[in-house]
Amino acid sequence: MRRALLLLWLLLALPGHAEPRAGQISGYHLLGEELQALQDDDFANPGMLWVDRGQRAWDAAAGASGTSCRDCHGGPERMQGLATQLPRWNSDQERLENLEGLIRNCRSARQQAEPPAYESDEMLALTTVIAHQSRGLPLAVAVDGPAADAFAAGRDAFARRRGQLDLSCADCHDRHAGARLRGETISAGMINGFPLYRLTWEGMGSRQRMIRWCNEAVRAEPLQPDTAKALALELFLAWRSRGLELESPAIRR
Amino acid sequence: MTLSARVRLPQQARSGEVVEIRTLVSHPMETGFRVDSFGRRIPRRILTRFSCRYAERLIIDMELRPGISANPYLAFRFVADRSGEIELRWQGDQGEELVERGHLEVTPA
Amino acid sequence: MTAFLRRRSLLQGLAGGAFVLVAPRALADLGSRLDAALAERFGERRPEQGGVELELSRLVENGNSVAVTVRASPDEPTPAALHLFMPRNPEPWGTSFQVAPPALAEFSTRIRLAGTQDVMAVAEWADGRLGATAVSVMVTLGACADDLYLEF
Ligand code: HEC
Ligand code: HEC
Repeated sequence: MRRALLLLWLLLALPGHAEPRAGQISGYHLLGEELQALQDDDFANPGMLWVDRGQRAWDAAAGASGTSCRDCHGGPERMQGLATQLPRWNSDQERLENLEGLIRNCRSARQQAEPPAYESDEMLALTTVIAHQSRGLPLAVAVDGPAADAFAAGRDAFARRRGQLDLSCADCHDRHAGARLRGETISAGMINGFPLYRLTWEGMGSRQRMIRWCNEAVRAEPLQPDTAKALALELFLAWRSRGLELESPAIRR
Repeated sequence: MTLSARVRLPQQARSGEVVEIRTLVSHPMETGFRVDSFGRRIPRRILTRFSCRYAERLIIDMELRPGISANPYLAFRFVADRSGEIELRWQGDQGEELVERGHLEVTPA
Repeated sequence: MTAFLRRRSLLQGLAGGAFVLVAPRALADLGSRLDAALAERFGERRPEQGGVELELSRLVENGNSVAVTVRASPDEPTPAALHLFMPRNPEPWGTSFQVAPPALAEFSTRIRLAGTQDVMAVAEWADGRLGATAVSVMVTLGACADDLYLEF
């Protein structure tokens, strides 16, 4: 088993290309016909409620500055491509930043308003409308240069066993991808669908919510969404999903 | 999430044509049967009624119950027989209400 | 591998706890649940077979959201209402759709199914007559399965 894991690390350590590698398969392909049709139906896909709402939040003035996102950025379509590159390294702050972090930053520093909480409806609306602009574009995060250390930490976190069940992310999403777990097929753990609508949640969730959900499923210590560890894991997941087309708002079971 | 809807309303039709209305509305449709992770029951909170008026006539009146999924989807069809206003109305058990309106122009067949 | 399986059954056991509120019922019991729901809605009246069509997939991936279409049979006069019953749900009476011309007696929606069951559509005509059709649906992941994870 150790040898298998080592082999896996070696495979994963191969230099990155922006093309899907073997074993990378979007969770979309594990959906039945009916749910694929739901994702593809731009009217009935419930995630589109958050896109609509994000559009309204984008245009709404907020905070002491009285400005809206539109006042400074123009339409949300100006954010096309951004979600495929996140998280990314911020050299000034010497930390990774994801979409939620960028929005919170603009909200507090530029709009001078209370930033939306993680997983709040407003946050999900804004992240979904921004990610939606990149639908169909391949994920392509930078993991070299200053991001290299964070990336290594993320890879490590993915492979490390955790929790009372002593399982690593890789145990399920690499080694047992395709296996059935309580009526659920374990996917390859790609994050190209986020923010996405999970029927199990009956609502939208971010990448970090999914990470927390899986982390909790193995009864591990909770991971806070904006810590270096959680962001490093998000970076590694984005790199594992490189080349896959962004699908937000995707549907998952 | 505040009540908000996506609706697809026909705007023009020929007299006698069958047209479709599709609706999606944001609402948790909390059944009252679920418990949170502390074992507390989450109180029921659902949309109870949807109705559609077309050219001053009540053509659909639907009673919703907890068996309807969160963020309810509904599609139905009717025969366009005259020009008039279409009014869609959702009502919830917390007194909330959402109304969407549109106009259907019907031309002779 | 065995270790993995052991952990997996543990996980299954933990998740299984979430089903408490929708515990499986004996088939005989199912009949009485449906009967109680029909009585609640229709009093003494009971439907005869047919007169309404029910479209939904027979194998459902997640009971939280199942696409369904109900319509009166084309050879029938237009009914005054269409109803849906999900006998194994905590509340078997799902919805009632009252319809008046020029609307067609047909609607599509998404419903919750707390497990494998026979979903029943009932058409109700103005003269009080009832017609019903049932479809067996297998649910691999029932509604409410996620109670355990609600706080995430
Ligand atoms: C007062 C002007 C102002 C307002 C209002 C504002 N921003 Fe920004 N935002 C900026 C500036 C300046 C930058 C940094 C330069 C850049 O990257 O465009 C930025 C950067 C961003 C970025 C990173 C873009 C990138 O390509 O790296 C995101 C995402 C963002 N803002 C989202 C928002 C959202 C969402 C809102 C509304 C909730 C908002 N901003 C409101 C000025 C503003
Ligand atoms: C016990 C097995 C198990 C472990 C361990 C596990 N997951 Fe998951 N994971 C699942 C299941 C089940 C799902 C939901 C079905 C699916 O999409 O695979 C899921 C879904 C995901 C998804 C969403 C896939 C999609 O298509 O949207 C991501 C991302 C993910 N997991 C990441 C992780 C990370 C990161 C870890 C480690 C912290 C982890 N998982 C650990 C079982 C596991």
